[in-house]
Amino acid sequence: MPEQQRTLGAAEVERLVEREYAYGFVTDIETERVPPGLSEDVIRLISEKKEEPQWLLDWRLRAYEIWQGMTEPNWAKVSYPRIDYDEISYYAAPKSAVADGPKSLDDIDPELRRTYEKLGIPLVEQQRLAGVAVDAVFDSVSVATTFKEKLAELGVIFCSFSEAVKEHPDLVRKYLGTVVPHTDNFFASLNSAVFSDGSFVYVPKGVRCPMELSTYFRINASETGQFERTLIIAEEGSYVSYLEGCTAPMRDENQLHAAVVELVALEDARIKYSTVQNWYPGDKNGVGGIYNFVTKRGKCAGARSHISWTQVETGSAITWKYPSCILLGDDSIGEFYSVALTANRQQADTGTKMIHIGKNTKSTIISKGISAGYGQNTYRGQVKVLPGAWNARNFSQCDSLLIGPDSGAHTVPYIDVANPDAQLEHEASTSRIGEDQLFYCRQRGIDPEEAVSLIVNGFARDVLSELPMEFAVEAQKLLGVSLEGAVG
Amino acid sequence: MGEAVPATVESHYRDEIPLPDGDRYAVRRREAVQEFFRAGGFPTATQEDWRFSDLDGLGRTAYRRYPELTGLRLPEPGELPAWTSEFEHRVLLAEGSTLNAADFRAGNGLAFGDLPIVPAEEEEDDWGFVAPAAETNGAGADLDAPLRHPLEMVNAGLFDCGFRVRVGRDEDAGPVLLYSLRRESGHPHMLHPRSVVELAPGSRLTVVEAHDGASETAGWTNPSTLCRLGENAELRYVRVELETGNIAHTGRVTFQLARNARVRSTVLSLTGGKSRTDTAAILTAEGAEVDLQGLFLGVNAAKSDQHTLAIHAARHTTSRQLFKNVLSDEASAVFDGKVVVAPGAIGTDASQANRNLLLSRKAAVHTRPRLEINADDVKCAHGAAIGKLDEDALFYLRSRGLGRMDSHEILVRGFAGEVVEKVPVAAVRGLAKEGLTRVRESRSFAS
Repeated sequence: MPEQQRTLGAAEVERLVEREYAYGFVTDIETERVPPGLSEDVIRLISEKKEEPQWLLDWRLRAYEIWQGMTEPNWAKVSYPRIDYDEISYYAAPKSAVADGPKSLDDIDPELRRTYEKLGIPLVEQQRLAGVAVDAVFDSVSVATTFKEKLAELGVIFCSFSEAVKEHPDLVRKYLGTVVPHTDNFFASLNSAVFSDGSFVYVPKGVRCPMELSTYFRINASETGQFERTLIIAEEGSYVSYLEGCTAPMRDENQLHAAVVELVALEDARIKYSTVQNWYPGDKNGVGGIYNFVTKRGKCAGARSHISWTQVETGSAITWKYPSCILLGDDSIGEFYSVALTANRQQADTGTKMIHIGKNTKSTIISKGISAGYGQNTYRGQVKVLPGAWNARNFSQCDSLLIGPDSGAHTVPYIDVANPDAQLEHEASTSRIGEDQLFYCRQRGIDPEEAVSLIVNGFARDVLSELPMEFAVEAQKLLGVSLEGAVG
Repeated sequence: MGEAVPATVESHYRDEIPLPDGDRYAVRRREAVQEFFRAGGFPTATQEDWRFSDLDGLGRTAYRRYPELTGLRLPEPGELPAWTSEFEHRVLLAEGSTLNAADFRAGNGLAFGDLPIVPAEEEEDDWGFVAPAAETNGAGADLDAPLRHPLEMVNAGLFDCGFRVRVGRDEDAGPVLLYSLRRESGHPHMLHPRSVVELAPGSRLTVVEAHDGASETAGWTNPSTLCRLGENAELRYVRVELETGNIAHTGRVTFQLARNARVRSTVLSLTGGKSRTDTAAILTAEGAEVDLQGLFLGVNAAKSDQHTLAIHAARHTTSRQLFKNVLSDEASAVFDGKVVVAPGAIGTDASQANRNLLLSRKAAVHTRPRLEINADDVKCAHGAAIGKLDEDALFYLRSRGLGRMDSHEILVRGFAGEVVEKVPVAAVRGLAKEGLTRVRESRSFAS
């Protein structure tokens, strides 16, 4: 039996490498960019281009100063060549979007619109998927936001970050950096210094946002980094569901993506944040691909607030990402549902942090890692219960599925408890796709590839079922595509 | 070897200090310590593996070393705790000096001896510098990892007393007690004992390693134990940590297992101070099996930091881990367990569990059960649980007429029993019971 499995394994890898990245095209569009390198002048230039107020520039400069004294974190189980931060261009924008700025959706450069059509993202409201408002971020700038007016009627603000700085400076100033401070970590500080755009969402008191809000990130220009910043504020008793998707062209060089996402949920508010991350993962030999080094954190500031992170991570050469919840308000709830798939030479070190501070706080962690080929998948998560967090509850489950003898699955949970009332459970298991499972499927006329896709989707179901419908379909397809040929 | 003055570890190994005559390993030992400093020296809490055990202070303290520590009268073997006399074979140490050299005897195929600081040429690898080659069927694994532990290098360089226990082919021996006692000396002092336990193929042995003593002056005990098992050998190893007061304990025990060898190990932490123990098992050939267990009964401000590492370097090997902590008062516990499945080590069966009982609002626990899996056809699972005594169970006992203290005690004993009852030596089970009594008498018990 082992002999036969090994042959299967070799075939698996053979077939896996044939996997194609569907979004690898480059849009030929004139780009305005600052020359590579990072200095105070570059930061001033970015700030000037965005016509930012002085306080924001000062904040960027403070972050830059702190970043210069920081060292790149090395504790994650990922390896990559040293990044030269002076070889990256920190700002790139399609000229047509910047020159005067599109006045309405009809003014968008047709080339840009075609790009998003190819990606299946509707920028034209008539052709929309029912009930999804989209903010499209192309390299460093937001090129379009749909349904703004309709949302404005309810008082919901959904716009690009630059626009929010201009139109709603008080809100931005009040909340920016309150969840992920500019001193937080190496990549977050870098982002704070050079962030170019992103999305801003504000849901007023008692409003249930009537449609899914969505941001689509696209890296197009070469030798650039993308540093976007997203800020979502849900006022008392409000609800918002936010989706995020990402793609990038196929290139032989690695590109850095260091984003920051901050969520603030006030009393009784609920934020649901879903990500389908499909950055270019590099080729079969691990050449090229995006370095996805992202800081995402939500603060359950008010009592009974609720933040839920769902992520499907199939892209990127390297993923370094820990969407977290600070459970400050009493009775607040944090959730983290994740599927991370690594194939070929991809590496993922991802997980979450649940910090229990308030009383009766609850958190749930469901993480499913799938490793194929030479893929390395690490779950790294922390559950921390502070002394005052009476009656805290946590349940964590981290399962790994291994496909192929050269794949790796690693689990690194950190559990720190300083309150005797806490009840925590952590469970993890590791499995491979069993011969018996495949045999069962094949007996019933399901071909092997479909069977693998079926088993993988079943393995990930607990997480996929948390995604909004449109995303769940995309995620399921993505898992299917990524594993094409995983079993010979 | 020693200087007459107290000195830090670093200054003990400065180049300008002349090497002793006749010790042809002196250079190598100095290199081990120098390697340690090159690799970063004493770990600090900023390092991932040392987050809860900052040893920076150990590096800065000027310690005296045995043998220049004088003025202490060594106890007679008869003055030692009564439980130590229940062993047929014992090696007794006080401040690193042997108390019972005359007791050393061979029998049942058992052989004892000092681990010579200057070994004969053919005995070179008795120090445990050399790890055995694994029969890995093509599996790749870092077998030396436990031997590159930073404090292992310090011990290799500075060890000043040591023992070797050997049991012959197909012999069944034990239990053997390795007992080390430290007492108040009035000066900061450090001790680096080193022991090697060897089991010939087919042999069986029970070993109890105990570290006892109390001191209000800063002390540091840094023992290393290496257990090597031949094919089909079976070792039952029990480690008892009894040191209290201001003695920092940083110990390691490493098991190297050949084909079909079996180890059952229990670390019983009854420390009143701070102790860190690294237990490592290297499964180098098919059929090797380890069962690593641990129990910490923490009262007052005691702190136990238990690290485990199971390296599955060959096909079809098994490891089990179960570590339990009972924490009263301000006691705190760390469990950092790691299972590594080397590439190609298919058929691995590994499980790891950490269970914690918090009895006080000031107790704290940090647990990190880790898996590193690099082969696909394996069975690995781990779990951790933290909680307090079950209210329903307490209610059940109370409703049957048991008092509050008694019902709490019954549940705590039940929780600890899973580990205690598997300890193969009655005298050690007695020590665990004393530990449980201390838990019952602790300030925050059933409060």
